[in-house]
Amino acid sequence: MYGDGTPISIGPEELNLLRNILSKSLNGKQLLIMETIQRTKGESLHRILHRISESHGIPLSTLKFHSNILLELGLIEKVLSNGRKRVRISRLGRKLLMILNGSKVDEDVEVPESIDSLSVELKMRLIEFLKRINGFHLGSSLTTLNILIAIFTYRQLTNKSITSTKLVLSKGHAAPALYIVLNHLGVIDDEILRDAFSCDSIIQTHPIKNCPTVVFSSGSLGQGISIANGLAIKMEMDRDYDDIYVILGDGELDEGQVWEALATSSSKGLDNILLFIDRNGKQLSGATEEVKRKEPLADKLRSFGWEVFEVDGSKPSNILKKIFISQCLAGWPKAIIVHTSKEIQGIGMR
Amino acid sequence: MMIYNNSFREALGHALLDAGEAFKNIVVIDTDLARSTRTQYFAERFPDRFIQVGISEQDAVGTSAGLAIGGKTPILVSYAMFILRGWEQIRNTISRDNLNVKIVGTHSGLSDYLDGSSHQCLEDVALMRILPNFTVISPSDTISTYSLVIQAIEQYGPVYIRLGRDNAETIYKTEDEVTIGKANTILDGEDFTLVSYGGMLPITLRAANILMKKGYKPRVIDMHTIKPLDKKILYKAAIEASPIIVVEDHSVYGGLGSAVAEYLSNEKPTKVLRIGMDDRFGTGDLTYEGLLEYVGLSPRRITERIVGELDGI
Repeated sequence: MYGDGTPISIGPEELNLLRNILSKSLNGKQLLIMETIQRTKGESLHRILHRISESHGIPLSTLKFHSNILLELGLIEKVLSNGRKRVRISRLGRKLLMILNGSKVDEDVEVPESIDSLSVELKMRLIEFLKRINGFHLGSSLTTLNILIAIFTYRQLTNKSITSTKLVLSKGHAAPALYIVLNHLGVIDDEILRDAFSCDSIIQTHPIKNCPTVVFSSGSLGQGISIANGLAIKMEMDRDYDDIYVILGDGELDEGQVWEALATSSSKGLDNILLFIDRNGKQLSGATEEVKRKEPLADKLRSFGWEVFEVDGSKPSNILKKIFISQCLAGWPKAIIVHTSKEIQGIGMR
Repeated sequence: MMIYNNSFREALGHALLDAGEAFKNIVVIDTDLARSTRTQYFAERFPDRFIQVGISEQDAVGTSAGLAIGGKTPILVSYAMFILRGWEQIRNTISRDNLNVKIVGTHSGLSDYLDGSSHQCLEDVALMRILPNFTVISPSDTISTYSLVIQAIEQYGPVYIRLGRDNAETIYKTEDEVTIGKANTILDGEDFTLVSYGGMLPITLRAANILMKKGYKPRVIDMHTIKPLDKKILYKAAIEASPIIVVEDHSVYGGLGSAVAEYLSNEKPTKVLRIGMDDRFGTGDLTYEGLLEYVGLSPRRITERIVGELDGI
């Protein structure tokens, strides 16, 4: 339904032709270098070439010669981050590889469809859970629920710890959805859920850091990406990589700090940040495009140096597929615009 | 004796340079002001621990918070005035989550005389001391700047360090003369007590010298730690040498004068005179001394004000 950002459409025959031309203009060594760079996190060109040289028995000088051509053509590029020079695939280089190898389509990735029925079940529980506070922030929680289900399922499928998940809930008012998902996963028990929102509870209407998986106490909008940047820089310094998931509301995009932070992530090539934008089209005063225009959102994010994916968020399995696809690319911060709707859920905003 | 060229920012630059060797966990965050704040020294020596976020203070506060969450000890350095652009972020994240971020506001008060009122921060003490978990410090010379910056790094928790630009004078001889939370009596006397901090302390001492020539015996206290306040030294002064006169290059609302009055009004009601910026902004001037004279904070004008008040008592 939503493309991965190639603005021109190419027919199958043209694609074959283009593939043919490109495969003749680049040699195998150059493609090997590009593909390795696309997969490798936070390393210098020198180190990557060394590794290829050792594993494939190609002289280092040959690889250097070809990498210089790739740099000149703008297919790979150097990024300076915290005083260290790293190399990454350029946007053009990525497109080229997509054409050569065939763009991965959603159907290639297999994900458990059972999470779609789980979504229906958890939605019901969320509605029930929020009855005691008259559906406070219910709309925002419902549209974020599928994103959270997708993130935690991804962690499970890739054998990553659930409790040490680094979740930056920039749109803090969607916290109730997190509590329902954490309860389902057995991270917070029924008793905690029962005592929710009271003075001593670790689960408040806006998340506080005492709650498992919550990286920082949010509630004030627009701050999440900056926090994720700081954490990502720390991880890069200490080379202890883990994903950082940021969930942003679309209304939040009005905040200037969001754009300051988006520029920081891409300047530093922070590729362990995965940003989800809950594009439900609504903010407190009405439609997002009426309050303050957000579109063309994907283009804005791309112009800020992000790799952007779009997805229909009505099913968590769709989102999960995009997470897998997005993870094939090193060197770039990645955003998934998740199209959701408060209307489709049958529940308006509070 | 001139140490670090009697410049607060030079002292900061050297403290960070030495801290970089001693504490492998510290990182310095800059908002495109490294040359001006002297974090440039750290950047050159430790490029992999220097984080440039550009001219975006709110983002810089958030990035510092993220680094602290990850376990680093981030030191965010910028002009005091512009760090306040991220005050809500400081309040909601660093203060609320008690994160180990050290914030250094340089060019505070009237020290940035030439840049004028847009750069002269007269509000930071008020805004930072009301934040839970924060320690607020403002060293009065270069030796204490060096020492208190290192002490701030050594203790856990958020700290705001208010620094002047240059125009420091030598108050202390050794680094161990200052300790966070413990004010120092610089001059003993029993007629009244002058309390000051930061770049205004040497100015206050000059005023005290003029007053001594007029026959008064003033006590002068360096309240380099504004929060937590050294209550003991104030209580003692209220008994032995009242009234208490607070001198600061900060708004008279919410600054150290207010903090002293808040404490004494409860514990030992005493007349507290607040000399500072009276609900007004500064302005630009070619010299620091000229600006102080203009706004009423030169030694001469401080003296006049004090004598006038004392005559009225």
